[in-house]
Formats: sequence, structure tokens, C-alpha cells
Amino acid sequence: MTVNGETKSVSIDPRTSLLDALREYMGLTGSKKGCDHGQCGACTVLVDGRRINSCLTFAVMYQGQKVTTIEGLANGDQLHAVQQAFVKHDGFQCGYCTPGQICSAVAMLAEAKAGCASAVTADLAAANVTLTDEEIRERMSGNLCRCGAYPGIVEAIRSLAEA
Amino acid sequence: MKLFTYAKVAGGASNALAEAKGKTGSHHIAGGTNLIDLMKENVMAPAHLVDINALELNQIE
Ligand code: FES
Ligand code: FES
Repeated sequence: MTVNGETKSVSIDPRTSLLDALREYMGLTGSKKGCDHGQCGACTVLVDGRRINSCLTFAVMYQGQKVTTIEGLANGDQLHAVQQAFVKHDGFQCGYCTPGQICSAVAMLAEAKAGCASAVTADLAAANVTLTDEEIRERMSGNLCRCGAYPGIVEAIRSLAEA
Repeated sequence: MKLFTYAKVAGGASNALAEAKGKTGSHHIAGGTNLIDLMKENVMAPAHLVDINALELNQIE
């Protein structure tokens, strides 16, 4: 599979989750294992630009696909816009949930741009989504932050939604 | 988690059925969020997983 633009090939047991393959076999420890049960979102990565919980899927299912982890978002020393926003708006405390939050936010902004509705969208047929705080909170609800840095996270994402 | 064999199928839905046919303990997998969680807890233990992600099913008729 292609990970962060690089072709990686590993021989692994089919039971290996995508998260374990990234962390244990490719040395990409940016994606975190919070629960290993799809409940916290710390392991969120992008597959072909869409966010998934990498702990609840097998690595073998992604042969030939493009995976992006937190390590692949920045361009050299130039942080990704979402990373910059999290720094600027204090969107973290301990940082454990942050790689997942940021990957999730990247995909979430793209989803909103593409007009995808969420559970709190009033008009499901509307072509454009306005990312209110309620929308942001709902769309990011799969990513838990034990430090409770939510106000900063919402602020960071709002700053990008407005931009 | 019990070991399983894995196959990815493409094309029409009938290919997924053909792949599973005659194999005891065969199970289809798409995202995996439910199945894999249950497999981790040994609630489900499929012997063969048929990955249906590549099937050409992208519209409602
Ligand atoms: S580690 Fe994947 S959702 Fe918690
Ligand atoms: S910053 Fe500590 S869990 Fe979110």
C-alpha cells in the first residue's frame, strides 16, 4: 500500500489491524491506540482521503490503496493548515487524541465542502453546509479528547471553515 | 482472534456469493467496524472473510 506517498510492503498476519500495521510494522507511531474498539477516534487515518478508524479494519484490506497518517499531512517543515489551526487555537493539551482529531478534521472539512449532511443538518437537501459549532461538534463526535480540549478544537476547525 | 483466510472479490455481487459458497464459516466484510470488534472479543470467529469493497455496487436501482 501507499502510505504518505511512499510504497510500503509488509508481510503480516491477516489479523493485523491497519493501526497495528502502521505502528508496529511501518514505524508510524503518530496514529494512537486509545481503545482498539472504535470508540475513541485516536487511530483515525485517511484512506483515499476518507477518514476511518484504523483499529477496526484489517491491513490486508488496503492493498494497493493510499493511506495518509498524521505524519503525511505536513509538507516538510510547513505544517498542514489544520495542524497550524490546532496550534494557534490551543486545540490540545496532552496531545494523545490530536493526530486522530487532525486527520478527522481534514476529512470532515472535505466532507462539509462536498455538501455531506450530518445528523444535525436541518435541510438534508441543501447543497451547502454551514459549519456551525453544533455541526462541528456533531461531525467530530467520533473523536474523544480525555483532556477536554474541545473548545479549542472547535475553534480551530471553525477558523478553517470560515476561511 | 482465530485465524481466518481472506479473499477480495470484484465485479458483480454474484462473485461474492460464489466466493463464499461451500465454505463453512464464511463471512462478508465491508468496513469491518462491527465484525472486527466482535472478532476481537471472540464473539464471532469467521473461518473465511470475503472482502466486498471492490464490488461494483455504487448505485441504488
Ligand atoms: S483506537 Fe481506534 S477508535 Fe480508539
Ligand atoms: S489533548 Fe489529551 S486527550 Fe485530547
